[in-house]
Amino acid sequence: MPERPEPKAKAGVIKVGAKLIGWATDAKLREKGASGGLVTALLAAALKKGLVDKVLTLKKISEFEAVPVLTSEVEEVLQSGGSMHSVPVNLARYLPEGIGEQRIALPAKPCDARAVIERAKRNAVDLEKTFLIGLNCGGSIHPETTRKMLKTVYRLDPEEISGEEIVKGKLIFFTKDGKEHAISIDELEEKGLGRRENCRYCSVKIPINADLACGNWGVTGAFAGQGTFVEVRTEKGAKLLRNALEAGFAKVEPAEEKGIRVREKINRIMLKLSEKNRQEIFSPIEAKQGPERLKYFQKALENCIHCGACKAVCPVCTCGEDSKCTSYTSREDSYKISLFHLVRFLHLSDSCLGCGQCEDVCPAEIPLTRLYQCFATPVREAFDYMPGMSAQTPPYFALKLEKECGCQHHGLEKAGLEESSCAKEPEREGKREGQRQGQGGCC
Amino acid sequence: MIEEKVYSSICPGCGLGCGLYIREKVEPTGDKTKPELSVDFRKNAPVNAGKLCRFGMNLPIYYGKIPNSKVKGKKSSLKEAVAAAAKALKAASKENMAFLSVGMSTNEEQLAFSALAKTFSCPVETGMEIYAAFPETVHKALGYGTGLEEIEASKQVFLFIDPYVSYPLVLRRVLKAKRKGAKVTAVGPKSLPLADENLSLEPAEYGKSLAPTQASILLSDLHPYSDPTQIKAILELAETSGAKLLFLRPFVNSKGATRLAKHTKQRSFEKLLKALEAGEIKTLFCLDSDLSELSLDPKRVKKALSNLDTLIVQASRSSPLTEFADIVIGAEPFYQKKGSVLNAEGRLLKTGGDSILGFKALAELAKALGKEGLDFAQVQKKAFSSFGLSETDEFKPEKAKPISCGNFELRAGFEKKEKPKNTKKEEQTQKAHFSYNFTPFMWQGLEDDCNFVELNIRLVQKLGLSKGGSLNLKTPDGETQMRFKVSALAEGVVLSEKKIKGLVLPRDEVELSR
Ligand SMILES: Cc1cc2nc3c(=O)[nH]c(=O)nc-3n(C[C@H](O)[C@H](O)[C@H](O)COP(=O)(O)OP(=O)(O)OC[C@H]3O[C@@H](n4cnc5c(N)ncnc54)[C@H](O)[C@@H]3O)c2cc1C
Ligand code: SF4
Ligand code: SF4
Ligand code: SF4
Ligand code: SF4
Repeated sequence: MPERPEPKAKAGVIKVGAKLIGWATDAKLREKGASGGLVTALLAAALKKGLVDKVLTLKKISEFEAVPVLTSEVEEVLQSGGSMHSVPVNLARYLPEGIGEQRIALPAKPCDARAVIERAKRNAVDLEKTFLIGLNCGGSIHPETTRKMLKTVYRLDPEEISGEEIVKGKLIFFTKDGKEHAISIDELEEKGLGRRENCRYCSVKIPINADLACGNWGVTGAFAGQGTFVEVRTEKGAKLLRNALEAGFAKVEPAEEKGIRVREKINRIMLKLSEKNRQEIFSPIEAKQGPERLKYFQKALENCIHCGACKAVCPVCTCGEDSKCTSYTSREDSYKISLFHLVRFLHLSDSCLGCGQCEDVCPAEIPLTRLYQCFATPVREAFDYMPGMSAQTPPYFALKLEKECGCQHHGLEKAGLEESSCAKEPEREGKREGQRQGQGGCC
Repeated sequence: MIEEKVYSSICPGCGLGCGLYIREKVEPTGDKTKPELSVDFRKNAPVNAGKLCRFGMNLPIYYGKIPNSKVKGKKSSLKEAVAAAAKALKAASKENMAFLSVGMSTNEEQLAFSALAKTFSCPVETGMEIYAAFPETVHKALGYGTGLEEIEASKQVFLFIDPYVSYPLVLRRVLKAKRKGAKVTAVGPKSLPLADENLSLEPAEYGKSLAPTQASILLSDLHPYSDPTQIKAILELAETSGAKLLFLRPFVNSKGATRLAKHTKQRSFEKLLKALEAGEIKTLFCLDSDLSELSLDPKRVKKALSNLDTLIVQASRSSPLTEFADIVIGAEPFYQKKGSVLNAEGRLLKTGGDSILGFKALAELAKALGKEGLDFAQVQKKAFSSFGLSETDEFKPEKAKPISCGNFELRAGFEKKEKPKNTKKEEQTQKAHFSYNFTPFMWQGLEDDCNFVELNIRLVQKLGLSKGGSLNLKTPDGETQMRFKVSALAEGVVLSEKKIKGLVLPRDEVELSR
């Protein structure tokens, strides 16, 4: 990788709202990193300089496997660079439970960041002490699917893979002989392979709910492929960046206008595609009404073996052992749908993120995320509330829906969380639109 | 500071050996025998893609406490326990000794245990008497394996197991086959939701009622209570049709242990119990095999074990036997072990840890009894070569082989027990055939949420049972009250996932009343 020119930008450009291109000063980190190695540099610098006590990151085991580790070793963080699209993990569950003393930084895809925020609302995480370095996300792939794609579509031995990346809608695998093998994700998905189903309709692509939003969209010109686009979302995010610059771990440049526009455009296209996929997947289910819909749910759940994995893995469920879904359920019952599921569908209807973890681990191959989303989407639409996007808004089932104008803010006022009336609504509506597009402020 | 260690391990709950991570937290000042454990999903594991059944999810409870070494009921060091075991073994008479290891330890430990048993010219018992029921020419076929992927590729799946409760990680493979158009036939007393047809058949009817082809797969299991007549019928079905056959196994290293053992000398748990009761065994050495957990009658086992002069137990987790034994060699828990197991598909899997404490204890013992130089690497190599493999590779299951056993006669079948005597008036009682639906919980002695028997609705109506109530089960050994669940079962069948006193053999007859 060529040496870079001295950046024109100094720490002064780092403020909330700034859009920058950053990179790790260490060439090896840049080499290992997904785009500019900036995320790893930020994490390592935060640990080194004592901004945080620990970093939650992924320890790579193989091309398709990595395990989340909570570490205080800078060296371990430095080893963790690179994006692993075949590691569909949600990191929120790995943060220590409860409000502790430790300050922790972690990389966070939108679903990771949203889960952390939902956990914070339930006092399972202290958001003040958690530094979320957001990663844009176009989707992740289950490693079992990756191996299958390699064997049946790419015709490659999974053991021969030395790396992978996603560029311009193509999933590219690099083999140990130095060759590149690219196939479009659309083509893979037509074959029932590619990204996990929930990722195809995921409605947050840029983690504007994190302290920083990092990605490779909008990295243009000389930096293409070698820099990380970073948007500063909070003061905590600015602190992380300044710290890395001061420690000499990273450098930044203001992003070019063209890059900013490209990023916005790709995001819009991705969200549109997500919406299209959502319609395709959910319209046939929504078309079923009454007994037909009940039958759909019964059939979908008939193979449940009551392992409890869907509950254990769910990053927004903080109920622990003594939970309503388990205490109302007995294997002695012969109900077609167990109360375990019914309670959970309702319980998570205001907080399910559609992160897909439940479905990933279900040994009965039940399309669980779809089922949860069938309950969560109407709630989301009724309250115009996207779980995990803001720490300020509590889960909606904690509030009463006000009838007068149908706006959620009356509910918030009643709960003492907002002071003014719904005259604010047009302004908020604008912000919410921005939030949907991944552009700006959220409610 | 609490440190966390992550083990990329496998589930010891059944012969599939599903991949998972065990996260272990140990406080520097905390109780070392009770680390805080949690299970995490290893999505890259080829056996199970990170998915686990209820047993796998309950592993932190299963692992519970690491046993302390003990000599005569008193806590000791491992070294002292090994020395005491060596002394006891030297003093014992080889005529009334027995060594039991059913396959819950690594191949390396199994071979070291065999070497130790050999110094007394004793075999290692695996409880698999079923092998003794078959001529040796058939043993090879009983040992064949094939990858779970073969299920997905089949056009027709014949289930002789209930994958919802036994070997649950097979279920998703059958569902995937079905999604690709395969027909699923379940042979057994219970109607399975995923089956296209459910047939309750006697083994003698398999030949004329089932018509598998070369594109079919037959899924059955081999365990210490398997019915040889049924296994023979399944082998014949596979041979005549050319269908693929996979025998699942109850213990993580059932297959490795069986291959490393001498099949012909195996006794059933029932025969072992009888020998213990008759005082024919005076010294028993159990390697990760708690007879009271494995037996369907734990109380009887406890009584029978009191006839022993010496009970030596090498164990990786605390269990009733570690409380009861004269000498306990406390080894590391399974997930900490370095070593290998051969799963039911024939994948040679790593256990995932880095400790060989248990192996070393066995090697020390063998040395004390004259078998020098058991080196871990060499023993491992020997185990691998006896499987025809050179290294562990979780991505390589065995390739399916055609079954070719020819005509043969069984050497033994099931003993039928006497029927219970009818005491209540005829109209108040109903007779039914009793069957166990074996689950990992049953084999591993872990409590499950299954305090009920299953009956079909007609039997419930005939007995006049009320919802939420219980029923009386009269067995050859006495009466038991049980709660019940209404299930889609064949006529006249009672099914249980919980051990019931006195009900040992499949298809025992029981008397039911309100
Ligand atoms: C699954 C996935 C999909 C992505 N899709 C897009 C996209 O469509 N558009 C876009 O602009 N950017 C996307 N990104 C982000 C992009 O790939 C880079 O991560 C980002 O540009 C930062 O690059 P870097 O070199 O600074 O990060 P690095 O220095 O390489 O650091 C990457 C960090 O991400 C962590 N990480 C790796 N894999 C995962 C994972 N699966 N889950 C959670 N954390 C992980 C690593 O542990 C490391 O801490 C995606 C990232 C992931 C993980
Ligand atoms: S759910 Fe969304 S954020 Fe999470 S991995 Fe899938 S696409 Fe990315
Ligand atoms: S229910 Fe499933 S998709 Fe929804 S948040 Fe929980 S794990 Fe994610
Ligand atoms: S993970 Fe699947 S099988 Fe397990 S309890 Fe949930 S729905 Fe049932
Ligand atoms: S199927 Fe067997 S190996 Fe897999 S999790 Fe269940 S008990 Fe463990």
